[in-house]
Amino acid sequence: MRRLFTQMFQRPINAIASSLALIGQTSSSRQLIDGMVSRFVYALVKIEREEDGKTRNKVNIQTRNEL
Amino acid sequence: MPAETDSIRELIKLWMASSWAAAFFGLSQIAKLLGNGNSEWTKDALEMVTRSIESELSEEMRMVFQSGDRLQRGLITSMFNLLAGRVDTSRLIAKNVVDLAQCASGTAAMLSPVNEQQLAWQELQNKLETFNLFAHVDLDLDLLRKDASLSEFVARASRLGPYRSVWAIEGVGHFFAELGDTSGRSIKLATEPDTLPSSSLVALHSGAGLSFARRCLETITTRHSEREVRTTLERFIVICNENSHAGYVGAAYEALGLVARNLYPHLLLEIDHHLAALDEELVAYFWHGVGRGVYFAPTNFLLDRKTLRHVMKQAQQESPHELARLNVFSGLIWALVLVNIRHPKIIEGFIADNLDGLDGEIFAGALCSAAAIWRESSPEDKALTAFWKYHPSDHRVAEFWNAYVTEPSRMMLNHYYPAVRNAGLGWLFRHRSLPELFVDRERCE
Repeated sequence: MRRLFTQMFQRPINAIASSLALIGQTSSSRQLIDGMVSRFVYALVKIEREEDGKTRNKVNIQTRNEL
Repeated sequence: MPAETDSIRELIKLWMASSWAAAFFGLSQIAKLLGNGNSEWTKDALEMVTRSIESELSEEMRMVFQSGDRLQRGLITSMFNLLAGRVDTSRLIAKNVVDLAQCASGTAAMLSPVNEQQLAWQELQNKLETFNLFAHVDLDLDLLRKDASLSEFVARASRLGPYRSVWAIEGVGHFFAELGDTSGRSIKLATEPDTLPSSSLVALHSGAGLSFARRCLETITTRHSEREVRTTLERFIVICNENSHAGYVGAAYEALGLVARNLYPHLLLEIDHHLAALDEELVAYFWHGVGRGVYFAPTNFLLDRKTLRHVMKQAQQESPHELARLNVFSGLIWALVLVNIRHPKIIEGFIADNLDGLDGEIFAGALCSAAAIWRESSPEDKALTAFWKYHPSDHRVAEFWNAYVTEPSRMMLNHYYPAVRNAGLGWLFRHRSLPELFVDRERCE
């Protein structure tokens, strides 16, 4: 039940957070709307495998460190 | 009058009989299924009846039927996957919402009177179909199975038909690149072309490029330094070069523009600045991707007459210099043509609305590149030939069509395609003028 609840709401919450993060960063209102909606949709449809989550985070951290 | 009444009576009788026959057939199949368990035979028989009914529908009705069919199949698959705990619930809901929107826009297109509104709905349905195939290919093709290889999934996607398979293969490329580092199934297109059909390479590189670009750009922090952007771009280029076949790497580079335009619009000018310092060629690929991004941007999703005129102005406004302008226009036209290749009437509407401001040379270059890409990716598709042989009803559009669609496409597909193909096709993912496409190729040959 807890898993289903997480599955139902985690993505939409992440999607909202991701799209709101763009506010104040772009001067063009059209690009801002496009960016926010695209980020929202992307966060909803993003491919992610639960069992690989930990590995993925590790890889991202590695990439950042390399940079 | 009595004759008319008789024919109506006969029609009603036949209609009732066919409904009764369909219901009875369904019942008999269920009885057989429960009786002897020969599900394969029953499945084939039901599929045959469905396809037979489908073949009797008009083109518009068939598209709506297919959308509805996919929607109900998707819902059933989703339900079973969900019960088995195999997929993310919110992602499934997102897919079903897009399926529903696709079905609704197809119905709206069918019910609208024949005018620009009908074209706008049709265009929306095409756009949603391509997006849905790309974004949810793993759910459609059951890519969650761990054992299958890239070539097996490409083969499965290829069976979706000449139009749908191209977008599904792009989705497969994106899916494999997304999982590259985590699941052990990596996408190494630089070494794999021998195991993959050549028709899949453009779409696979394009899909993988979108994943490479997204993963690199998401590492740029809000308060980034110039060095951070520069290093990220260098890393993106290295990833593209390492994972792509040399002939198709342009398709991967170009994806950066699409991702930046729609997910990181605040970085556009900075990326342009740094790419110019790295390599001018990359700037062209980047802005071509931005043009594609403008076409797929949410604010341009329903392209009615007003938006169609506006989208050209927008392309102009978003281009900071001439190379960007050429490529943004080229990318925009390129995407418009490929998504709507089955409906030349939509392109006719676009030309009619922008005839005064449309640069025929840019249009023809973008169209020829798109035609070559489509010929390579879907060699059996008859829609491409029907597209360039189409005759618009408006005489001004017909003149433009003849000069910048029919004639250049004929030249490209009948004469220059083999030479263009030999160069690898990745180089078509940026603006190319007609002399570059034709004369230079001839010289190279």
